[in-house]
Amino acid sequence: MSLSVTDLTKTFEDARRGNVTVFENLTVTFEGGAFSTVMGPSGCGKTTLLNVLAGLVDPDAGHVSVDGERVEPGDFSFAYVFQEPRLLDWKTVGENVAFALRANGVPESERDEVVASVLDLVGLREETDTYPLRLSGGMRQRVGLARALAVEPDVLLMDEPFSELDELTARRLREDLLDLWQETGKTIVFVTHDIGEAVFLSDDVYLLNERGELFEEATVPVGRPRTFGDRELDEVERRLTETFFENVTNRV
Amino acid sequence: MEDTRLGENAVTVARSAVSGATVLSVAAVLLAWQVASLFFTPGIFPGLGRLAADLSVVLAGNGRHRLVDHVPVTLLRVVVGFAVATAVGTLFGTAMGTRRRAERYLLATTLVLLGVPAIVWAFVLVSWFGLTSLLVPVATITLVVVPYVTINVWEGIQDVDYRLVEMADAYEVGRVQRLTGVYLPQIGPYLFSTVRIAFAISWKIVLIAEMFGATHGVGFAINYYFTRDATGMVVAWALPIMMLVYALDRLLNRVERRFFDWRATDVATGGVGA
Repeated sequence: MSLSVTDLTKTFEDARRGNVTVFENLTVTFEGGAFSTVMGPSGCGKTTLLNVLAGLVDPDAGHVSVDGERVEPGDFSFAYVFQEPRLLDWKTVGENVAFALRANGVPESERDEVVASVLDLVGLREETDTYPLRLSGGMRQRVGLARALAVEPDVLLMDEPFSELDELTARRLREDLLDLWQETGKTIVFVTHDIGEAVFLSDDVYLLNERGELFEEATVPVGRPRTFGDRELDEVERRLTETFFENVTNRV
Repeated sequence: MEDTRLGENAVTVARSAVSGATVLSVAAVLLAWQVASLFFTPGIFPGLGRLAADLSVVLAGNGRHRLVDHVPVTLLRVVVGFAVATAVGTLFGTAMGTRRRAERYLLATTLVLLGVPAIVWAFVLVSWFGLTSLLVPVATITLVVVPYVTINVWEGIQDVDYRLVEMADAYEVGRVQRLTGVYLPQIGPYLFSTVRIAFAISWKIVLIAEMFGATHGVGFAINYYFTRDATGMVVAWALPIMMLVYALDRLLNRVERRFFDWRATDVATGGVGA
């Protein structure tokens, strides 16, 4: 299902810097079933955009629509995958997934079955009774993904989920994520500051500058399955990188 | 797929090393005691032999005072005072941790009360209420321990990871599930260490209160022997109590470990003296 924000405006009060305007009249639509990526420099408000969609942050103005119908923020079927796994370390892998199921109103008798099936999807069935602190970072992030899939969301909101992993692990998880996306047909809104990652994963890439303004909507016209280092992908990445630096006057 | 499991070896190594160290440190203390006793008369600083004799008198119940007459009432005071203090402190600490207003009103007062010496409370309460069986010792414990529990619980609540709370928001986790699944497990370690130390403090306080404010109890008996220069008996009376407190602490530690099984890397540091 398609998801959009219209005329989104958000200002944060910051004790040191005064009021910081993150977005002013931002309008963007993410196509249903597509893999969309929002890409921008650190601090451009990418996470805030996801948080507004999820209803975790109230916008000052603007609204969220699903399939063209206006809805309350967060009032649609979604699951959130965070930058860190954000697991409950005192619960086993299986219990972490079941935690989200319980919150989602799935009766206890059905939880074990769902837990087993989503852990199968991410390749962690054998770790059902393991505590998260005994797993590697990549495995923990997989558990976070399994938890998100368990609630059968229409939309997956993903906030730089691979940015804290080493490149090899991240690469494998990206491929697995694409497989899962193609199996399940979900709408994915993915946030990253890594152009290569955005191009490899996405159908559509939305580029924000440091003022939170949308300055480019690009499609990645490369078929799937994609292979890492593909020449066509590299070409798209090169072009987007150019556009990016033309528009982002870096004040770092 | 990566398959690293951490922590298991470190835990076993730490445990076996600790028990040897414990034996060695206890032996060192006993040796130092014996050497020091050589410089004093036995009445003031008894050696290990004299101490053992006094201890056997205490344990056999052959002295002027008997454990059975004094330990139960002391135990009762400790349990009541400790329970009241933990309940009240948890209440205040939770209020301070979750409500700004409560924090503003309670914080400074709590910190000041934290500095009041137990002996001052004991004297003041005896002046006000005279010799009482329960009131003065229990109130002394409560007044000393409450600020301590309050501060600990308050700090525990402040340390709750907001990112997990946000996760709970995103998954629309309900009130009960949020309390039991997100908040309590994070505050749990603070509660456990608070309870353990609060219990140990309660024992020390009750003896002080009993010296001046009671006609029965371990503190009263110890004071009796102190005023008669029987240092050996003072120590001999303290030893069974020390062992009891130590055993209770180990028991709580056991329970705590079972609760925090998931802290794969922390287990090694949680069991000092095990």
